[in-house]
Amino acid sequence: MSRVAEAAGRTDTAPRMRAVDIGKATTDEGEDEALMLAYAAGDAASFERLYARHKGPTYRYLLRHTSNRAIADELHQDVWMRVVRARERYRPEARFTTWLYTLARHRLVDHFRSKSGVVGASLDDDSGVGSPDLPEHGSAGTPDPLARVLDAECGHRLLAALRNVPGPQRDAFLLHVEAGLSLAEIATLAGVPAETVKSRLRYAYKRLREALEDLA
Amino acid sequence: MSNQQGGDGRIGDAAVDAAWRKASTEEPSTQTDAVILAAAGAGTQLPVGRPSARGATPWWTRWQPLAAAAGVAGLAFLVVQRLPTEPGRQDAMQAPIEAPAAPAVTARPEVVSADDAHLSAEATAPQPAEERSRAGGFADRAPPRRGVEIIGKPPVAPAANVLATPASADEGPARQVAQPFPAEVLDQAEDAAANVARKSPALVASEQAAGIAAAKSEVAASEPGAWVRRITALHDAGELAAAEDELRAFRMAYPDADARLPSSLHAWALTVGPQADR
Repeated sequence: MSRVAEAAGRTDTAPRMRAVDIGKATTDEGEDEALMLAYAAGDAASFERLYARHKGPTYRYLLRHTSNRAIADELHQDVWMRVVRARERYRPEARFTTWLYTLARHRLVDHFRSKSGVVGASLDDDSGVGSPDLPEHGSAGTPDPLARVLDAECGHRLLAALRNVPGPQRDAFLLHVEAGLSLAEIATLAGVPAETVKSRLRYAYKRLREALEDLA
Repeated sequence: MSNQQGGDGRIGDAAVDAAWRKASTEEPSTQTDAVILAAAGAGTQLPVGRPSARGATPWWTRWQPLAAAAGVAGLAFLVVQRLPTEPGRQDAMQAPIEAPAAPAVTARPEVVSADDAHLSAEATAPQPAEERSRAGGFADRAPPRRGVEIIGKPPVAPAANVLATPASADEGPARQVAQPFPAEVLDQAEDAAANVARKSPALVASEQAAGIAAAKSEVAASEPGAWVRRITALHDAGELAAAEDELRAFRMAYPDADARLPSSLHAWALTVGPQADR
């Protein structure tokens, strides 16, 4: 009762935290797992809170890989449907986030396999070919018009640069910055040594930093 | 911009992370959210660990296969229990037992009645058909009838021997004698037939054939002619002791045994007493 009820009763009024904001986990240790267990026990409200926490990062993870909103929406829905169906089998042996992105990654792999003719559409593809479906950018809350323009330009460059990053590096970067997974968790998820993940992250950061150099 | 690595092995760049926070803000469509939340809410309506299709199944359907198997087994048991008591089946099992007796009687025409004149008319023409019907039913066996058999004729079937009276052609009128042995043989065959009637058809058929063959051989061995030939052969072979034993047995069965012997053995037969000299 303690952890589950605590997690279920906790309000979600706090601003959504990004992995990069806190430098490690998105939520308190074990809170996601408690919410998932509460949902498996029949508490639908727990799932709503869980979904509200993770829907953005998972959607963006899928969108950055597919560069297509419609496909990202479809994959996102599939991933969360799997979460719903698998609620009875869920065991908190690992972090909920790791389990969630394992599902998302598998769904992405399935998607890329079915679209095997698409150039560069693979997590393991080293070519960084992107898609023309560019999202809207800009800091709407920024009062300074110049700052808004700079932010928009910065965003465009970052996303364009990320699309040119090879698939494995892009995947490692997104799992790190969106999902908030650690090196070890990314290594487990990708099935590669942690040192490999570290090198991929360095490469991705280097490419993105280069894209922003003249704006600094 | 600076590369940074946290104590837990994290790698990052503050400027890139800040720029990424501002650039990457997309959210799934509200329609997708509604679909997912509706599915999640519907999922909690179902019993945990039981899909909806399975939950709608009545409890007794789980016992249906077992009940069906028990029903089939019970039905098979009843059928097996009923099979031996069916009257039609017993009749069918008795029929093959009676059939082999009939052909034996068909040999009856070879038995020539030497005293047709003083015997009733039933002993002549109608006799084969009547006796065939008698031999067809063992339970219907009548008291021993009288008849005449001419020595030298081939031995007839057991049923015919019931009616045959030992006699020799050179003896003139037929002699009326008791016939205990063939009647016993037929009694035994009847008992055996009654026993096998309760057995399986295949077993009945095999045992029936074996029983009939044994009865035939036994009857054939007790034929007067065969006895005479056996005694003659033993005597001619020099096995006098065996020949004497056979002659004594022959006398027990046929009081006129000495008369049936060939004339060459009459002198020897006079030396054979009722008991062996041991």
